[in-house]
Amino acid sequence: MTFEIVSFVVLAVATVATAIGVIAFKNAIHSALSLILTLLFLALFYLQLQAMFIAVVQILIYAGAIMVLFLFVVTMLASDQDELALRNQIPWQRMVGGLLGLILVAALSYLLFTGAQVTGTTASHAESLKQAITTYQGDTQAFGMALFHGFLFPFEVTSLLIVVAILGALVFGRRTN
Amino acid sequence: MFQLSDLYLLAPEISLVLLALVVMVIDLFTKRRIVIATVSLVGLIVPVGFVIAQAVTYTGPRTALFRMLVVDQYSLFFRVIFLIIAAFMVLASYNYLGKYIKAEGEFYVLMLFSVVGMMLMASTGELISIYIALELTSFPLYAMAGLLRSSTKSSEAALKYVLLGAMSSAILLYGFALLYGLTGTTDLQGIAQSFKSFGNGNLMVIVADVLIIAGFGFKISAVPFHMWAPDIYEGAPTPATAFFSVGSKAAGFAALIRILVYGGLWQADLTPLIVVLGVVAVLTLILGNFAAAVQTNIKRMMAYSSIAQAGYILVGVVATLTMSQKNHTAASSGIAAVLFFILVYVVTNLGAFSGIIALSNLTGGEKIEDFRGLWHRSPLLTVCTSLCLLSLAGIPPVAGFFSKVFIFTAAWQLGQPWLVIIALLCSIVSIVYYGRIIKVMFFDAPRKEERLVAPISLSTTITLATAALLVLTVIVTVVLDAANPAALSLFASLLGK
Amino acid sequence: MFDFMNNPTVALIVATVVKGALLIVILLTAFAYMTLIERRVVAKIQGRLGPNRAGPMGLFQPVADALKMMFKEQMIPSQARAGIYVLAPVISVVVALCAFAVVPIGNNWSANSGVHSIWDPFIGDINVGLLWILSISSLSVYGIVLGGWSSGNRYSLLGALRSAAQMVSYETSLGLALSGVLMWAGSLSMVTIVHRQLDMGIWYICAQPLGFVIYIIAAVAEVNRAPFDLPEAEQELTAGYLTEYAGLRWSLFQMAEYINMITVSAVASTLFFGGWSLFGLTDGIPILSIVIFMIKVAFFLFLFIWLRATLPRIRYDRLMRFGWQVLLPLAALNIVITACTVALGGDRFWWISGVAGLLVVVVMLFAIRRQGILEGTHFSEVETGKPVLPHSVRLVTYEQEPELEQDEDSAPSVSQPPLARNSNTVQV
Repeated sequence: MTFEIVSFVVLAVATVATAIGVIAFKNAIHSALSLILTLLFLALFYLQLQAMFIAVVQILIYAGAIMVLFLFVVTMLASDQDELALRNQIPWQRMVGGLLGLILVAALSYLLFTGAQVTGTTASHAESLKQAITTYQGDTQAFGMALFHGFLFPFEVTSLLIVVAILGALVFGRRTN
Repeated sequence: MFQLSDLYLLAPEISLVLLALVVMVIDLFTKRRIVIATVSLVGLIVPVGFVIAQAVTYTGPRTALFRMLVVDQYSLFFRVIFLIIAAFMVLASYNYLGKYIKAEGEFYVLMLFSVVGMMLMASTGELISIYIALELTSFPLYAMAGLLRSSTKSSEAALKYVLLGAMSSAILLYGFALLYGLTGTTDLQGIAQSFKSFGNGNLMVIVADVLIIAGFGFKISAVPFHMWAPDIYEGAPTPATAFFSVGSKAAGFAALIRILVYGGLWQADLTPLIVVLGVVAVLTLILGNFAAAVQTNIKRMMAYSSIAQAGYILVGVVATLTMSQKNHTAASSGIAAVLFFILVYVVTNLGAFSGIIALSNLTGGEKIEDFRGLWHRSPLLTVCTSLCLLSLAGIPPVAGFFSKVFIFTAAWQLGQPWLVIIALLCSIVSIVYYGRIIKVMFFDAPRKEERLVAPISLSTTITLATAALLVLTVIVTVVLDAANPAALSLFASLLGK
Repeated sequence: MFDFMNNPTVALIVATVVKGALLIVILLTAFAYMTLIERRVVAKIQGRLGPNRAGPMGLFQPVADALKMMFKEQMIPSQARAGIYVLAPVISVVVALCAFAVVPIGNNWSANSGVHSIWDPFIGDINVGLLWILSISSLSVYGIVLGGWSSGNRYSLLGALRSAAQMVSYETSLGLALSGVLMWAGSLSMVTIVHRQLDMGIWYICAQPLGFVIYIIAAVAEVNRAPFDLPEAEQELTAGYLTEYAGLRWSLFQMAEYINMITVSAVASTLFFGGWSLFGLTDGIPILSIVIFMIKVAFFLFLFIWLRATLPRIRYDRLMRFGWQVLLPLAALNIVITACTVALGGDRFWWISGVAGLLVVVVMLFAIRRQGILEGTHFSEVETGKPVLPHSVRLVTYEQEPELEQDEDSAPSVSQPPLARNSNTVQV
């Protein structure tokens, strides 16, 4: 139990730190690298929750595919300039944004520690989830059953979503005349 | 678990997807706009037929695909609205596409896919499905905003829309995640069951609610999440703007009401929710109406006007929530008024926008002063557009008057008199700016004298919209007879248990 | 002294660390000797001798190379981003080594699938083993992209971007090609996949010929080997992402490339060729299974070298087109065929998907060949029985049969080579 807590705290700190790095770095590539680290740490969170499949897929899709494309574009476009020359149009914007963010974090953590109640139904839902994992021997099967059985409908709609995304990319990517 | 008959429940959406794919394939072989538009328009008959068949045969709510698909009167009502939007859009965009946009086939395909997303948003009872449907609605809108490839304003609009849309989706998902964490399920019925057991004072529910409202606030352009609307409405191609102003908004409300009412959020801690939504409604009303009054660009004015209209709808939603714990039947009258209002708003706004498309196409300008003296140059268009604007303002003879009356009376009866008073004052402001356009069109001296002849598809659209508006005015009671069970059906599944 | 091994958790950790260290030593040695073998084999194929001076048969050549690399100056170009420049080769190697962790290199020591020991010859048998390999090897592109970017050299950047595009494109086909195997095995665990092949009595190459062909092609592209070694195409990009690297850092990149090669070879033998099994031969003697596995891997490594010595480099646009327009649809087709067979037939009907897959392979070979002839990029020796060269190729020298020389002057650019009787075709 203590091991879990210690590893959670370490992971949490690392994740938040790298996530802050994403927005704090001036160099776009450093931000992208920081984001990759964040995603890898998230995979470790899943690992800690015994969700091996999700953890590996998280690495495969986010770190392995999506971020590669990010880096691809960023290195191609921003290779010459070291720092993004962003004009700060509204000077007080950053301060107010940070303040509002802090308020949100404070409010959420206050509510999380005081307001959350886990009711009987919630517990039973969580229980049925555990049941499913044991029934289907291993999380891969459980995940597959959830995806292609219970969540078949959004899964299929997602394929439409991808068609639309490809179509939109085509429309924008096509040369004008 | 899974039966073939489940697919029948999904038949309108499936046939619409097939139609979109067919249009996409046809677009590969022929570049003739008339073929593509005709196929899209004729193809819409199939989903319309399915929806009518379902409306006639189904009396109670049906669920399928593990309770993710919910076909009740409420979703059928919205399906009708979205199909009306699709049909009007095909007609209204026909000429504009030929003139400004090279990607005609893509425009129709994107529009049809977006309509599929809207219909799914209204007919799912599960958070993940709602989110996916929301994205299916939004992605085509992002692409449509940027279709004017030569215009930097259009590209800027597309980029802003994507960024803010992604942002709002993130906030929405955060809310969904909290709801899931609290209840352990993404099924709205399951969530409603869980909320029965929650006592007052579960603060996390409020946070989840606020995040969800913020997320949908972007989609329905409610203040303070409205900032994107004027820029994007101005930059995007005008038919796309018309589509954003009705489709995205109606779908946003469809899903928001589905979550708040069907998901049983009113069973938990209600007061903060009402306060939050009420403040949002008031801000939306005031800012939308007053900002619209000072605009010179007609598309920006319509943007603020559509923000203001969202305010009226929110008043109805707040009123419903106020009463839902005490009296379901009474509370449902608020939703019924909202449904009627949305239907009228959709038809009116589409009519007004097709008028604006036609007139700005002909005059070549989007400033209000470009519309001077149009009465002398194109009487039919001017009269129809003016009727639509009058309806938006809520002037008595037209349907817009009734829709506002229903919302205000419902809100008054359900115990929100202050909201009604603010909304009334705001609609007086709205008369000023709608009236200004009408005045400019009818009484100012025209710049040029020659007659303007609108293209046939646009004059058909605007005539049809105006005719529909007048018909709606006549058959108010019939529509209400459909809206009332639709509103009740949101409560039905909860009461049944 | 070894009391601490009684605690199962501690024992597991110790065993894993020891096995991991062993594996790293094995892989690094294999890398060192792969460089020697590659040079020798390529030399043989090209009619040269290859390095044979250091030690007997040149066996100490890797040692000499290592010493040379170690004492080279460690330069950091002035235009480079130092931190990432140093980090990039390390990322490459670490990622390459990690991927191998789930490959079973032999049978359980007890030779019984039911009895496990912490010392069994694989580091971890996780139930998503195959996905682990895919996901970790998908990270290997970072080493290349970052190396190319941080060098601050246009050639490096272009080479790195090419490699990123190539690896992302072929990764999709690679993953899809493997999913046919997953359908038959019903598991992602590498150990289970081998045992399933034993249960079914076949190697999955028999049920998945199409999947295997796609996998091998995609794998060659994935590890940036010839004929898909575009990222380091020297005519176009000097040395691609390696341009600014020298010494140890350069050899780290080389090390990553060879280890990746070993990994994809190991995956190919495990998934399609029954891993460490050989028709029950290894049942009694577990150590034999490791030898057999090594032989299988060695075969694939030889295949890589063979390909490099035989095939010319493919053009970049053709490479991308081939990946997206040929391999990816074929991989999808393979999934459809396999899914239908598995769902409708079951284990006994593996031959249906085997025959269908083989048929597709043959048809595609003919189609591609025909396409090549139509485009004028392919030999067509059908008409006259003698080789006809495409118009795009001009010959300086061309090897001919001695007896044909006097009566043959129809080929326009054939010159009489005074010295080069054994020379190969030289393209200009």
